[in-house]
Amino acid sequence: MVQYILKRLGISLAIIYIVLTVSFFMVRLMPGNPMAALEAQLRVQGGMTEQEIEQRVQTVYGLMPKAPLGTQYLDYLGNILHGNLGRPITNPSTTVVAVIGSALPWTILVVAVSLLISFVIGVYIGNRMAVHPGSTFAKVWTFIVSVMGAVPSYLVAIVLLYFLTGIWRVFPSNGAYDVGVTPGFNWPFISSVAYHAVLPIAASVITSFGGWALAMKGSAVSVLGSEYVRAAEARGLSDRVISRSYIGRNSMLPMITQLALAVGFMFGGSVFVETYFQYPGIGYYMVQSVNSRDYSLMMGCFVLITTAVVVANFLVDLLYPAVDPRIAWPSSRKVAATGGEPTTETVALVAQGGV
Amino acid sequence: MRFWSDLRRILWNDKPALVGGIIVLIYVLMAIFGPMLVHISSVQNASDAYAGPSPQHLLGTDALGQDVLAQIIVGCRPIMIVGVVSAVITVVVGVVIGLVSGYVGGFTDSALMRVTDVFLTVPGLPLIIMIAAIVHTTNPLVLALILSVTAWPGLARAIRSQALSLRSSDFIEAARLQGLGLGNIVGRQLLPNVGPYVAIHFLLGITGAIYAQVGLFLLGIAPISGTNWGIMINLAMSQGALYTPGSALYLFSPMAAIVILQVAFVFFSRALDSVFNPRLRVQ
Amino acid sequence: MTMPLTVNAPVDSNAAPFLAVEHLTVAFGDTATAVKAVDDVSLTISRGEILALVGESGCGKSTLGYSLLGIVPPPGKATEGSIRFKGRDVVRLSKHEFDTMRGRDISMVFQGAMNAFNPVLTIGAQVEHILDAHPEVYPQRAEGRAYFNHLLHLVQLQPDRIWRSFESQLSGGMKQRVAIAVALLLKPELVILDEPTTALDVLNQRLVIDVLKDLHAELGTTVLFVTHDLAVVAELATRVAVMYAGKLVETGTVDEIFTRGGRRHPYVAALIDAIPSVLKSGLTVRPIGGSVPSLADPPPGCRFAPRCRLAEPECHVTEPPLLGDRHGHRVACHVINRSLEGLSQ
Repeated sequence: MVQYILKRLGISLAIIYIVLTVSFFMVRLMPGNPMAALEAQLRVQGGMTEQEIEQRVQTVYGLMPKAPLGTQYLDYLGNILHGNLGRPITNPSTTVVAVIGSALPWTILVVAVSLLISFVIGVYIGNRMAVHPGSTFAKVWTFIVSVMGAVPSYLVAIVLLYFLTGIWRVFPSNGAYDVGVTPGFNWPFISSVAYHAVLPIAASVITSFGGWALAMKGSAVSVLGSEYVRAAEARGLSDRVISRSYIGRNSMLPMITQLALAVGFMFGGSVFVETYFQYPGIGYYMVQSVNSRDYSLMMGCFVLITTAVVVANFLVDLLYPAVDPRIAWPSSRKVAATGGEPTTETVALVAQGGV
Repeated sequence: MRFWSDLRRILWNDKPALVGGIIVLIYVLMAIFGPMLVHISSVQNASDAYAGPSPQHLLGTDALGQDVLAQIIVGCRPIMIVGVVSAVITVVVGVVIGLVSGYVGGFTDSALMRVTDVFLTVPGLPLIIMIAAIVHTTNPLVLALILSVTAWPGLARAIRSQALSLRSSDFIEAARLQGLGLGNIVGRQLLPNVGPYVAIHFLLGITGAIYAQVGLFLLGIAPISGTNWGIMINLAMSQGALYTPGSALYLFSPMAAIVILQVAFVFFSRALDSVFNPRLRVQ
Repeated sequence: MTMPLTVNAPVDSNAAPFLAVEHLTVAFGDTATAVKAVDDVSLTISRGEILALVGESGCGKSTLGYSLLGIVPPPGKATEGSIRFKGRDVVRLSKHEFDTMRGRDISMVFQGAMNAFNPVLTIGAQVEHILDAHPEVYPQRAEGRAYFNHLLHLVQLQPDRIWRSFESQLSGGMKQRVAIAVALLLKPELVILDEPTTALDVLNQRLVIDVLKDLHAELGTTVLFVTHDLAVVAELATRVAVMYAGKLVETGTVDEIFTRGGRRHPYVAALIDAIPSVLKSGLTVRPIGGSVPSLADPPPGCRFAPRCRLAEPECHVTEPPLLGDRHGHRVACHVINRSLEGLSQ
């Protein structure tokens, strides 16, 4: 058990380290690398001595541009360990960490709530589809779910914007809360936050519950066909016990593994949703920084999104042994955690998560 | 051939899949022949802006008075090229890594799988956005390459587990005992068995690449040049489509073109899945 | 092959049968294209006996076992005939009546006993589910648990360890024995064992057979034993019923079926020939040529005729009746039955 946790922790840290390293060399070594580009830009603007330019680059990236690459790399890692991601090029008076720190809660709010809602709806529909195959419910929802799963979230965002903020002004089209309210634990603020979050959450849920429904259906169908469910029937157990402890728990296991993938997918998708609803989360700042060539902020956003996804994965890994004893008490016999060959449903989820 | 007769039978019984297949075919034809048959008129006439549907302009006009339908047809090819090229790269990389990893095993396997894990964990879209922002390319092939950077790991894992189970199966062992070389075993024995995964991932790879690609154009991260559906939506939005009542057709036409294609791909790949999946085929 | 020296449970042929299957047909699919996995089968089981139901895979023997518990997987269902058990027709029981009967009156050990346990619950938790579902058997849970521990002792397992284990922590042979103990937990009157030794290695097969013998000697439970392994049948069963392609082709006591030179269905004779003998030197195994016909489109006449060495023109046309001698040894074969007088249906 301890070994399992340590192994997962090690893998998570390794992934973060690799991402940091790759980001660094991308900034330093890519053709038209951002650090050189900033130097050149400052030079063209004129009015600055070489020394001032170098100093400016150093404040932005936290690195000496003239130092050997190895030294820069170590400085970079050291800075990160001290929580220093440099300063935004477009606004050197603040820090990248400060910008991201103010944006992260909004992204987590939208991602967590939409993940929860789409998970619950999807699992419910998928389960009903599996238990009553061939029913009208199953046929109608299989169709709806396949169509909704194929529609890109940004298009749903545009449609929602067009009708609910453009034609009928039902919801606000930007911001995380009204300018007039004071942030804090008070009703006007909370209701304003909820009001502003409705459309971003709706856009994510509409496009992601279908994937959950299909994955749940596949998982439940394979559990329904398993020997232990038939054995439980033969032992005369009540339907309630069978559906809760035998079918329910086992078909949820692969869903929990999928959660890890989904977190990454949702964080990625937040780029579109936040940009279109001008919702001040990390995705929004990432696109803003890309469009204003603010590479230090862009790197910071990327590193942070990745870290958040890795942390979420790690939490799911910690959750898993609590529900699947095969992880907590590994046996000599190798047991696949999820089992079954991949179907289109799982493949589709993986493929989407990979985009 | 068994495959084609199965596919025909399943398409015949699964009407949505049949319709999906036909739609995909129409889009492919549109991408190949569209630009030869239709041209976007160079005449710009602001007085014609946001015209409604008419015999001259079936889907109305844009802000410059240019025909929307012509742009939709011409804009199909760049989207399809990037989608298909990206899916090809994805499939080649995924199959090679999966097969090598599963077949060679040992250190090579664990090293490749660690790399795959990293790519599987890192959120794909932000990575693509970052690379696209730094590379800033207008070359469709480079764009396709960027899009496939994060798409291959799922396939590589599926192929690896297939290769692993095949490696321990009797007929591979027999081929090895007969002294057949690695290339022969992989090419003649393994590849036919992983065909289904490749085919389905190829279709899903196209839809994934179209999704990400259009997204990049929408966010303005991929440079705006030429005409494609993503650029059309981007321009419509930046010209204030949300608050310009007459622009609905201009905004929604490219969106509909994308949604119809994506949904068609999903339903068509469902039929392909039934062909390959014997458990479903029995029914 | 070891031949049984005695038949341990004498069969009282005068008493009303404990369980009687009459003209049972179990079909899959709608009537037009239905596949009859069990086709007009009649047989009886007496209290206390071990009846072995033998046949190749796909001959309908497992389906017959499932139908006794009403758990034939859809779209299969019993379309004709009846199953009389304790004065009730099992085929016509309501779902609720089935629920109270399952596990308590009739229980089953599944073919894939490897997978008969929920992987995410301990064996103990699953046993408690069973006790909770049938509170009338053990008003106190502790009694049930004590009896389960006793059963685990009988199957040579450590009760405490098993109680806390998940199925993934048990070996195949252990799981099989736990499954047998679980099936006996509610002191059922009939236990159906579906291929209890097939998935095991030779040593575990030996152990399970010994355990079953001990259990039967101690508890006297009636057993329906579904298998394709005739060597196991000879060792465990008191009576044998042989199925071929959905039809019953022979029933009789173990002695009647295994006695050399006795009246025997050609299929059964071929099965016995196919048992490898360690006593004889060299390879004497004679496999049966051909394969079981498709149940969707069975051949007319005797279903074994296409593979039968004795087949005559009549066999390909008329279905042979199942005829019994005065001991109740029944065989369905035109050729074999012709040589004997005084047979009845």
